[in-house]
Amino acid sequence: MSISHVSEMEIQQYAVDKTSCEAGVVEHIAACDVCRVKVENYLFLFSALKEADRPVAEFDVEDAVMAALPSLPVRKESFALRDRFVYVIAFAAFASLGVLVWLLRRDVFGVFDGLTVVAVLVLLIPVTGILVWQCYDWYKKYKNIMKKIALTTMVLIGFLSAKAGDNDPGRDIEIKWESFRLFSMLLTCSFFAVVILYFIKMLLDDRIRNKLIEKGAPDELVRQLLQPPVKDTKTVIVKWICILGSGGIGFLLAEHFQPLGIQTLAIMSVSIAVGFLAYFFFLRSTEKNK
Amino acid sequence: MRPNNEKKPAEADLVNSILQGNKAVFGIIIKNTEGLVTQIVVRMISNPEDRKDIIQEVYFKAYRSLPDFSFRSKLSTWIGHIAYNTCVNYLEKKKLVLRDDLEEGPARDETEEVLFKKELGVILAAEIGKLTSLYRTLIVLYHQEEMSYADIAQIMDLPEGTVKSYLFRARKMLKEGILAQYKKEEL
Repeated sequence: MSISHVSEMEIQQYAVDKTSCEAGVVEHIAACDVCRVKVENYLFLFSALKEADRPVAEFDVEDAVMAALPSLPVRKESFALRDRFVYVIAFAAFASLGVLVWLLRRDVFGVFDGLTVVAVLVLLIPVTGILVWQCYDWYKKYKNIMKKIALTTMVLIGFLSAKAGDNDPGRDIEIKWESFRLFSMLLTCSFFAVVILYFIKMLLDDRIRNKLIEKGAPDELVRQLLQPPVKDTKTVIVKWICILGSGGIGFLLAEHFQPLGIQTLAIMSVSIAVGFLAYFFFLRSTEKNK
Repeated sequence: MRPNNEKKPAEADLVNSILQGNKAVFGIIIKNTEGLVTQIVVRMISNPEDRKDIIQEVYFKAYRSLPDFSFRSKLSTWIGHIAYNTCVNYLEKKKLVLRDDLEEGPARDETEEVLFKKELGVILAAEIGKLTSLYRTLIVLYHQEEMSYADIAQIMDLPEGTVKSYLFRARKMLKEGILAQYKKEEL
């Protein structure tokens, strides 16, 4: 009668990692002297391999490499493909938003119909806070462009106000519900637009980098101007903790001090202001530590 | 069992520091990966004179490509991959055979004088030397550098299944070679 032993592959597998073998294989090896000897041969080999001398370089690798290390190049490959990708994504995002607003225009304009003024304000204050915060970040980065945009906007608003004033001799400061709803809708849309603008920002950063490289700016300068965002991760996380945390606390307090009223607005405003303040202190302490 | 693709937290800091212009930090990366790179180069390249140039070239390539490193693998695996590719390119340039005799057993009549030495280390080194460069590299990466199948597959650009299959053959050849030497010595 012939005895059926386990295969060479199973023997090896047993020697490498017994736990990954099937129960039948483990049982056979435990009972079979022939197979156990084969396993021991492999175990002996593996142990000898582990203890064998490792080759060592015949020179000081660190010294030799560090002495001849060239200046680190900034990535110079074409961004054409990425540019096209960003354009396509931005176009698709804008187009979808436009089509969506057009298709749902009645619902979109009536989205705040069922809500009271206070409820809409409670929603709007955090959204406005986030928008202001984000715009402030962008202002710091793109100061010159933002100044022009702000100036143009102010001129336009002034012109429109003057026109409106002509039509409304009373010039009452009273906010009409209809115009308030329109403002709310616009603000909500602008919130989504901010997301889309992120894509544009990516594109701009890449283009600036390309221009700088094409103009022959030193690598060190390009790196300093356009550091990858990795180093700001901590700051970004803290910023969002402050925004969302303060907004959340505001909502909890608003829930606690029912019914909704003017005090709700005060609570939300103060909560978000405290969030801003916490972030300000964080930034100041970070600056000091540097 | 073996450490898998877990990225060391310090790796990102090291890479970012170098990208910010702190060249000296690259020395730490060299220290951390020198053993692996030397293993690969020594196992792949038989000419000792060329090894020095290749090891240096590996690190220059890694340094130049550092802005493109995306942390999809461990830094050591990425540098190991560069080392392996550099060796393959060198061998191709020199028109040397890389994956010869994959199916057949190696010739064993060249190192007769070594066979009489009883030290296992010497016999083992001789038997490893008889393997093809591909098998040699696989054996040392798995059994000496203790890398996972997945990491070896990344370094050598091979499917994980192929790595396992080649390793099986390499171990078998190595075991049979060593047993044959002991039997000869016993006679």
